Amino acid sequence: MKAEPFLAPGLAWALVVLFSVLWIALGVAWGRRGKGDADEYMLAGRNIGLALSTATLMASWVTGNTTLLAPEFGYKTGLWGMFSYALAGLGLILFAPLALRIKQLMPHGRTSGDFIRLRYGRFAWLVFMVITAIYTLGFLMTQAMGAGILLQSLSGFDYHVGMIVVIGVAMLYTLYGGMRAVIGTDFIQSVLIMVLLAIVAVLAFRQFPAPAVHARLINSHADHLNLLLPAGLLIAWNSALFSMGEVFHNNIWWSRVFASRRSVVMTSFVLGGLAWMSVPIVTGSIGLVALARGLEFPQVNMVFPVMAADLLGVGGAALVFVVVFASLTSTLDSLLASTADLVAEDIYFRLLRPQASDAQLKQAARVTVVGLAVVTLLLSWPRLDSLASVLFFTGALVASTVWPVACGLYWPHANRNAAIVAMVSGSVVGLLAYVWIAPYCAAVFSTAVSALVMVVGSVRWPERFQWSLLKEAP
Amino acid sequence: MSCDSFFLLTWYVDASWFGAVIVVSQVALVLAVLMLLAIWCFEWRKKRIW
Repeated sequence: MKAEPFLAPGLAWALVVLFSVLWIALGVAWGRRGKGDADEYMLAGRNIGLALSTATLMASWVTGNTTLLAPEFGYKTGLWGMFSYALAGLGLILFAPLALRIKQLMPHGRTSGDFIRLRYGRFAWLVFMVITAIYTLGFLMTQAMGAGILLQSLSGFDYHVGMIVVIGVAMLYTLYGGMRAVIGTDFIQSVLIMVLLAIVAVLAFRQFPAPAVHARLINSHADHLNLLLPAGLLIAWNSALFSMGEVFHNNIWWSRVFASRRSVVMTSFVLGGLAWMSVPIVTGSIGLVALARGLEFPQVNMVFPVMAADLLGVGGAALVFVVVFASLTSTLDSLLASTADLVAEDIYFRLLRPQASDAQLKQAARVTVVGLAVVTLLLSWPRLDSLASVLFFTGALVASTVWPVACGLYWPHANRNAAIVAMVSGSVVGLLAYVWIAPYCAAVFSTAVSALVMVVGSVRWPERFQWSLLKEAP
Repeated sequence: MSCDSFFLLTWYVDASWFGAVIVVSQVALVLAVLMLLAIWCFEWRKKRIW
């Protein structure tokens, strides 16, 4: 099936302008609230309530991948593709108790890097920062490429123009409004995404009812309805472990912990994870409808936009356009803000200029937001055919951080050298599994090796860590 | 659901279960929106949003 634009360029540009102006105006307005210091800019004043905290977790986790890759999973793998993607919600749910623990142990903390540095020392911090840098750049690239692909497939925009527009908008309101702008817009974006997705899914299944989809699939692609599909089960494990690695290590989620009120932090991660799980199942089911209709796609990550436009006409294309635009901006703003926090706090302030003032720290975070946006554009300029290839590659790395982070938060005997070896060996073995076995094995092998090294090393050479060391002054 | 002779390798979801998955996921999505809006309204009345 040839991917032709379904949305007139004029309408597409009108939607882009409308939502761009809305996000930037709201971001700038919210950014003016509060005291205006570095904590306000980086962590929105550390007093976010349950509604915004839950919504920002959901919006950040509903990425361009959720709307483009989950349908690709449904189309290629069937039910297990949808379910395995939904299991990524476990990352948020399982992080909930750790989030509360972090809030208790690090009342003045700002980043995940702060924790690793204070808990395991500088060398472990360096290994951790390399892993998080590779993952974050990979994540930013998938969002940027998703932006280019969306605008091209829906409205015929040049791939690079779409990418520049989405990154530019997210950068502008993050730059002026900081974390408060990110979290405030995330609430609106998450509600918008969920409402529009529900409309698209209900309308799609009214035109092509579930029994008809099932009948076609059982005749032509029965394996897609097989709950014991070996590859599907492996993908599910990988997805759950990968998501744990993503959430446990990345500063997107740690910054939400530090920004939220202590009384709501655990509840928000549980509610956010549970609510999020319905999204990939709904978007993935659209992939199954495409398969049942016998459609073939030259580029499989275009299943959702092309299907919605095909089933629902111009209205469907417009709805999907808004959903993916909101998904991409809500994830990109979180990535830009939290990574800028990490660079400003961990590298600029703690490593290069410990004497820097509060205003200089805030300025460093703002400059980093712009720098990250430019780097993302440059790295995403050459277009890749499948977002999955980028995504799975980073799974090998981040999954190796799960046990060092979890053990470091609860186990005083967790050994710093064991943490370093666990992250390095887990990453190496995960990457070898990615190359030699299959991309969706990477996180499973990485987590298993990392767990073994972490536990054996800490039992054999136990440390006696003082938790009070984590209460470092800002 | 139905199983065939290759019990450990195949377990096909039947039409009713397939329909249930589709409906439940869509209902869950709508409930998630309502939950978010309800919490926001409650916190807004208590001035506990930010």
